[in-house]
Amino acid sequence: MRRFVGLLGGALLAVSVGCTYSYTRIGHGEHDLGRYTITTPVEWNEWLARPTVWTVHGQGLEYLLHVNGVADGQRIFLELRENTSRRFMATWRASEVVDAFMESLSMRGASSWRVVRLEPAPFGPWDGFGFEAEFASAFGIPMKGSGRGAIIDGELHLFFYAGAREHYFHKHLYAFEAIVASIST
Amino acid sequence: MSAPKPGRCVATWALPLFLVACASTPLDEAQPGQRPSDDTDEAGLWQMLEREEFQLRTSASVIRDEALQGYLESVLCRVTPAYCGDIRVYVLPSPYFDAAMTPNGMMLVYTGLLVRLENEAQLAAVLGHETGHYARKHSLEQWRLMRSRLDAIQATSSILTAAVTVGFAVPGTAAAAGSLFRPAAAASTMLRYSLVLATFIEQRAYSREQEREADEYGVSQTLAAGYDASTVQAVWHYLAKEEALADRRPPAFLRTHPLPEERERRALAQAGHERQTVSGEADVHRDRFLTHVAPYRNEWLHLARQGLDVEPQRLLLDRQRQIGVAEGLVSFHEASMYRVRNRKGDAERALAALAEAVESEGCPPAAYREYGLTLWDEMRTEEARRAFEAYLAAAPAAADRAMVASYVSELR
Repeated sequence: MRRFVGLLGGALLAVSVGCTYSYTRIGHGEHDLGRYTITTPVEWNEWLARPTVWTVHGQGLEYLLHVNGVADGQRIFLELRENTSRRFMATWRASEVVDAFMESLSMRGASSWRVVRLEPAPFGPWDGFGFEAEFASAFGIPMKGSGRGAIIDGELHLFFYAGAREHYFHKHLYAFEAIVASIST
Repeated sequence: MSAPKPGRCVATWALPLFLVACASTPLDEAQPGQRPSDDTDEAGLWQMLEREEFQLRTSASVIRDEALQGYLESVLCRVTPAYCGDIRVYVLPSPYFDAAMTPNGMMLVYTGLLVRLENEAQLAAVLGHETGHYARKHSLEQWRLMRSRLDAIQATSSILTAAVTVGFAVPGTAAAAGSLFRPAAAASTMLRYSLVLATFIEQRAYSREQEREADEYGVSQTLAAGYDASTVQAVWHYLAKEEALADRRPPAFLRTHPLPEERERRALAQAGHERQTVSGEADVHRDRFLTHVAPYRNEWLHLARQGLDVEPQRLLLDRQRQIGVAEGLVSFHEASMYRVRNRKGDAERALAALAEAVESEGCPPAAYREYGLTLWDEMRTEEARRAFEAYLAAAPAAADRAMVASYVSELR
């Protein structure tokens, strides 16, 4: 009986842990992200994953994904199943990175995605690319996204900010732009 | 005199109770234009699904295209004119061959299905099949079946628990019952689980029977609408091949649908038999169907390939060739398949497929860009530059024009 109660307790704990996102607070100001530093004008809630997720109001409304140095042969989205997730290749160009990134995002529930702009853009001191995309979230909400990335010494670095097109995307777009503009070594 | 055996005694009472509760009543066919009366469980189901449909109507996931929507509705009205005003069609992106019908007339058609069909007659059979579920109120039947079974299991569980507890508590029999308590409790638990499992398996069998009924309805309506329904079996023939390549194939008794091989056989027999009773020249309307799907085929194929291994993807692409999709588009997807897999020799395969794509009819502009990127990987810079220039010429308003132009500059 005691063993049963122990097992039940363990199972309930596992379920409750599995159902809870564990967020930590990221204050505004400068942050050392390893290869570079950034400065954020707003506070975020961080969910540690790959990519790392930052959000102000919750992931259903807006989020900032940070791919922080994915090496050749590694998956961009770690939690996706092996055969549904693209592995990054250091030889990729911007077109391939953006396609693979948006495809991976669609495997997490985004649908009807469309890249509406892709052009060369600096990523701090490095040559990189910027892009914009539109898609529907897993809940059917029209979303807009803006990304900035670069391949630095064979590793992929990328920020992607997305939010509900009607309100939330524009609400913190300035914060994303400030973060991207602040990338420095 | 031996001690009473609570487990056996309770099972003797519980099983007939369960079986009595299992009796289901066949339902009348849905009357066109009619809503269920507000005091029925059917009305409750409708209200629940109407809330779902309200969300779907405002969802950005639904593909909204007047031409496509109008076309699907026209086929639906042709194949099942009686229910034309009762059913709303929604097209949703999905990699899978699937469609669904809710009891309130909300029909979901997934893009993975549209990209695998080859003509309007096959589409009519699918829409007819889904309407069959609506007409025969299959969801309501399932709902009632499950409710009656779960009520019976609940009642059986209560009786079992009470019997075991009482048997243990009656004075004078406590010692004997005490020794039986554990096995009796274990037996009652086993019985409960067995009933749940039996219900699950029965629900699957019931679902397969409903699918057979809907298949027959769909083929009958397709024939009555003047289509050549002999083409329907080709869909099941293809799906049987696709399933054979799938990672996991559930055993027949756990399936919600009959095996595609069985559906193929039945469709062929029914179309052959009923064809004789329908007059007039039958057609499959291949071109009309392909024209309406054409603007989306590239995007939907992309989605349908996602997450598939190379063999099922190859089968899907062969299917596209069989349907008559332009070689330029099929070869482009073939190249993309190899580029994503990226094993030894895949770069050469991708390059060959892209070379074929850009020389063929129906080549999407993106194929030139992919060709350029692949040539660049192979250090064939001059050819890569020409491919990128061809892309910019083919898609002057492309969203990634500035990026591709930068590739051209770099290669110069």
